[in-house]
Amino acid sequence: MLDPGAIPSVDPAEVLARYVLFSGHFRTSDNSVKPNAFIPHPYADLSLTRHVAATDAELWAEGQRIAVERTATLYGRADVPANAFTTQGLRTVPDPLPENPNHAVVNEWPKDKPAQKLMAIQIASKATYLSAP
Amino acid sequence: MEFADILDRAAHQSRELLRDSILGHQEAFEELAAIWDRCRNAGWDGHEALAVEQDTYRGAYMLIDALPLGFPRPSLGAEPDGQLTLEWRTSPSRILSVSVDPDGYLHYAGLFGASKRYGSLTFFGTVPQELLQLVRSL
Repeated sequence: MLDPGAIPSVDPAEVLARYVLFSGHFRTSDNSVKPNAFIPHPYADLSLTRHVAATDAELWAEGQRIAVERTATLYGRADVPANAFTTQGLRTVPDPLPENPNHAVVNEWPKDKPAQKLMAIQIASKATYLSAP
Repeated sequence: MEFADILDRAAHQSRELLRDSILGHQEAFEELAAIWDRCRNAGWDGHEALAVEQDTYRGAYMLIDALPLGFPRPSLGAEPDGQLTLEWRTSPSRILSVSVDPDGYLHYAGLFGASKRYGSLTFFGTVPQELLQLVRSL
């Protein structure tokens, strides 16, 4: 994971993980993530974990930590390149947490629900869904 | 009972059976009820989602019920803001998602190959023609 003392800005080529903790947020038919997983509301920010400097095991461990903390099941994660957000006019910002220095948020979402949905659809179309091990 | 009433009832029952076999209304209703049951309390997505209100459930139920004969069955879901979704998708680049809110609005967005559409419609029991055309164009 990243050194908490030296957190770099998010590169557009970086991959970010969105943990899926609800079975209705992915399609079993073709193992893909639904746009619903990327709707930020009710909050202004969408929470993700950066892949940079993290091993695959560390990424899954972070997902499990979140699931345990929230008494939820970790179904999988959607990996998305940061530029899937930035090309929509959204900002990807490092937001290191004591328990996860790789934490980042995506902000500057439009308040208009249809516009949010369109962005979420386009982001989901560029995501790769991985089932939890 | 009048003969005409008997004929009417038979015709209605036949239509219901046909509709269920083509659209799969009953399956859709069962899926909707299961989703609502899981999303009735805040935090259902593990990310602090809002609870899905009963009015939202009722709106989604009415929308499914109002879909015409032979219409493709949507995939159902929920969003963190407490809205229920109906999704039609033929490929990653051809998809329409419709959110039902508790106030009778349908918020939609879709990709149709290279083109995009999004907006809001009101729903008072009849599916807006614009929405039907969008699904048919997928």
